Amino acid sequence: MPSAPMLNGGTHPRDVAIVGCGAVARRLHAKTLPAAGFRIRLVHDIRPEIAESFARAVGGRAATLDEIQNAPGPVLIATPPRTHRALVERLLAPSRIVICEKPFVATLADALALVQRGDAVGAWIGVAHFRRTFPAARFARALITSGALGAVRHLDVAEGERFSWPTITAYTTADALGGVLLDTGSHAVDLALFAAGLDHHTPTIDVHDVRRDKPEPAHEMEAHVSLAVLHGHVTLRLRLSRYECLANRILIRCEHGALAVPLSPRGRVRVYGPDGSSVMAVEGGGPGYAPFFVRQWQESLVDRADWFHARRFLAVTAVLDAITTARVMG
Amino acid sequence: MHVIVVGGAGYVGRFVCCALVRRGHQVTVVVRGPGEIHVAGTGAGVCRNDEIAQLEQSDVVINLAFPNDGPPIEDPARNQAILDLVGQSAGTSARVILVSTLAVFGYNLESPQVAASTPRRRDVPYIEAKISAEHEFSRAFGRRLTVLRLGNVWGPASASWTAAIADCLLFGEPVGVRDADGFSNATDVANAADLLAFLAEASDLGGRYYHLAELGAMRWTELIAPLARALHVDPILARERPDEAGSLAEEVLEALRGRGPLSLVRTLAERPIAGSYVRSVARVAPPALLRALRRRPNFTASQSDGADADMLRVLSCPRQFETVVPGEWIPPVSWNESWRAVSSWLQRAGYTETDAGEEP
Repeated sequence: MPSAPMLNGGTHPRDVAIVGCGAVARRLHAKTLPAAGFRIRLVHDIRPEIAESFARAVGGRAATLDEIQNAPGPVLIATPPRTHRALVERLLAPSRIVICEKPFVATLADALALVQRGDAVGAWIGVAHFRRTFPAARFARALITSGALGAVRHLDVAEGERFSWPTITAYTTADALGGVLLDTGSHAVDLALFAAGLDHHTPTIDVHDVRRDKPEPAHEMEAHVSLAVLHGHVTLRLRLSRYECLANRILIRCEHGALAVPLSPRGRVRVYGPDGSSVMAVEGGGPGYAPFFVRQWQESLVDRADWFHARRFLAVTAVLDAITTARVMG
Repeated sequence: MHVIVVGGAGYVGRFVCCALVRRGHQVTVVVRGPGEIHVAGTGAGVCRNDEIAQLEQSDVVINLAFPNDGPPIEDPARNQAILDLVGQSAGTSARVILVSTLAVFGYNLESPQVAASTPRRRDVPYIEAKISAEHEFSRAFGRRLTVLRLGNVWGPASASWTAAIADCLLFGEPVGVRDADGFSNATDVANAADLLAFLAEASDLGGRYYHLAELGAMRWTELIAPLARALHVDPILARERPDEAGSLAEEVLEALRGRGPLSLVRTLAERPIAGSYVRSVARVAPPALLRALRRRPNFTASQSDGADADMLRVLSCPRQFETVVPGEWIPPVSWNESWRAVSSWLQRAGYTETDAGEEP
């Protein structure tokens, strides 16, 4: 496990505040933030008893939102998506880093408003789409943006596995914003746009077809979408399921070839050409998500890497917003 | 009958619920977390742990649950919690069917296969937990208990096997070992579900142990070749089998080479036999010490490739898991039918663009 550089010249790890002490904070952030050299100092949850127990577990202190607002240091928002817009806006401050868990916000309008507000205040807003640290996705992005495969023509994203994540609030089964599209689907769509080099600009979106197993929060869905991007049009087929395993990969078809990129951290990419395909091994991949969360914290909380800045998530927000609001076909 | 299925929201559980409901039984699944969504559409009812006391008396309880998340040192406590749930569900009279695994004889089936209780031994957490569950259930339920040990569960969307192998094929990772084409020891999930429903209906099979791997004589290459053809890829094979588990002394000596105390503990924890001793010690260690160790990044973020090594051991298993089932039961799903279901799933899942075809 890589250790983070100690910040501000001192010998103490940097303090981070967390808003939202649910399953994500407990299972992931509580372990990976310390591993990246951060100390969880202040925590807040709308349920005081949840905040208190989480504070005890991480050696921090339960605090009010006002206290967190006035304290120095970065803030991580790990609450249900419905609350993201209001919380991010409230916690913005000059030079402050505010990291919002995925999905960023529900609508493109909200995302644009927050990016503009963050710029106006002088804050740095990040979004915790940690899969952007996956080596295979970065390799694919480098290959595609080099132009070696020509322009991107089609994205085929399929992600599914039996859902067992034990949320405390049950928003994934009770909240219209908790369905598979905005939950894990946001990761998959973002990674596809990132790997294909399509996250710099906000595309115009035409939704051709959306099918869901039930009204939101849906647990299974398929959508066919066109994105008008700078170089032309890119079609997107999206399949998501909480019921069964799907291929768990992104297929990126370009003018001169195609790539299959895993949606997991495995360090492999399959490259397709006219005469067949071959697999390339990419350094740094491996089982387990923890090292990639650690890398994300270093790149966002320390380096303020541009590809974690909120403006780079306008594209995925636009796609998700368009699919969410499209009329259901079946 | 009223059948309660503990762990019925899992992959096998859904097929079991459908099989029981088709046969006209009332089925209730005990779920935790979001498990309810996996029961929808099966015709089974759902209840949470704390609602069991309100349920109508059951005739049979099928347990598919086992400790599959959290730190392995907590497996005994989680096994006990499952046993308590099953006990509550079964009351004093219901029959109990425990779904276990061929792995109780080791990933290489190195222990003698007996359709009876198997001795406890130190091994990887999964195997220890499964053996322990068999013993605890036997002590709790005696002649009311029937144990079914399943082979490697194959079928559409099987995360452990079909999807795992498809992923390895797609991304060029080994799906076997050169010159060591193992017995698949597989069972189709629909056959497993059908046998469980059969056992639930049979009132005179208490105290028995059964084994199911109706595809077991097939070698892994026979199952994997049609998958590879469907994906238009060539299977990759590892050059040699992972090292076999040695003795405790061998594991400790190997781990001692050039390591400091904390990384030594972590290394030992990943070995089958030494890890079992480490877990035993950790269970009695002061909680504050464990918390302090867990907070250290190196202790909590293991990047062991143990899972891949175990998969290769199973894929190159030199022994067949022999099926032992009641004579009247016949598996309803043939290999060709099993392949058709898998083929259809490959297209649905995005591995193939068209159905891979009727024939494997």
